[in-house]
Amino acid sequence: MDSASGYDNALMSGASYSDLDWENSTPYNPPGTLNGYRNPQQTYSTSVVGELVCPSGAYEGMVCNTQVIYVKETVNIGGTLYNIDRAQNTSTIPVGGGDSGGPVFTIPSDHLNIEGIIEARGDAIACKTYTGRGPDCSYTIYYFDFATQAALWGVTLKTS
Amino acid sequence: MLQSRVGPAGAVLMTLAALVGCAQGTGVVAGKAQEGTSTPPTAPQSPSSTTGFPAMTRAQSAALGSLASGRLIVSGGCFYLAPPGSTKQIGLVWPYGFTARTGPAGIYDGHGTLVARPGDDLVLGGGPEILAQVPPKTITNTQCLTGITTAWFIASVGHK
Repeated sequence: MDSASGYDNALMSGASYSDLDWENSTPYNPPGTLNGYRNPQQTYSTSVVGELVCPSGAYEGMVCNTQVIYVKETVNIGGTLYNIDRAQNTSTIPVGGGDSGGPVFTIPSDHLNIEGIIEARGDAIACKTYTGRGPDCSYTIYYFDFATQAALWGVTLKTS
Repeated sequence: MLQSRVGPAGAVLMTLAALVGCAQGTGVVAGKAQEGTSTPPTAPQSPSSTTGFPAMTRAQSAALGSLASGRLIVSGGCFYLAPPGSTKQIGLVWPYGFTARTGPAGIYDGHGTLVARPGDDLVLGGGPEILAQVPPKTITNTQCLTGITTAWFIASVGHK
């Protein structure tokens, strides 16, 4: 959602929280095959241009070697996305409709480092899975920066 | 009661015809007639000239990465998505170039391909936008968005 504060955000709260990282480790698996990982060593950081990240949407699954090409962009998609990061994969489709909300992370040394949350896709191409979506996939992914949102809302990453 | 005599399907078709009728009053020209149809299909001169059919005024290179599913319904001359098991009706903004036409009645993409009919169970790529934060002149024919705070900006149309 757009926000007058210049950030795309919404804070959800609940009585309890899972301490699992949810991701779909196999690209193009259908929904329902998500895996939950518990890793107390997880960290988070802000993406930098040139870095390789792993988006993991519910439909497209984990697609590593996706390269960050812009950070903190303003992108007009009808409404406006603020402070959004953009990454691209030239060989494997990393994002499609329904992947929003999935994590974007790196794997520096046997743990997950959270960088963002999937929000949008770039130029549309046909999807390789769940083709009922129509041409709603892309080699280009937009995601919002986790660290920025965490600071804005005063939340921290649950690590245990 | 006219509606009870013609039934829901008939009422929908009448509503769609009324939509196109409005379009004809705003510059729509008749298209090539198809075999077996008594009413020639219409081809709008401008992509979104159909009154009551909100659509983007230009193509977008990015879109939100969510999915919404439900039945395409017509109410009060406007199209909505009705999610299963819910009484909600989600206001819709269609992609650039999409139109509502007769012959056969339905929604057509920018290439003239029929992509949806009233009563279809759809999977719509895209995502929600707060209309008050959408820049002016982004959407044509906004009558059907009156009173709606957040609409689903459609990026792709698929069928369940």
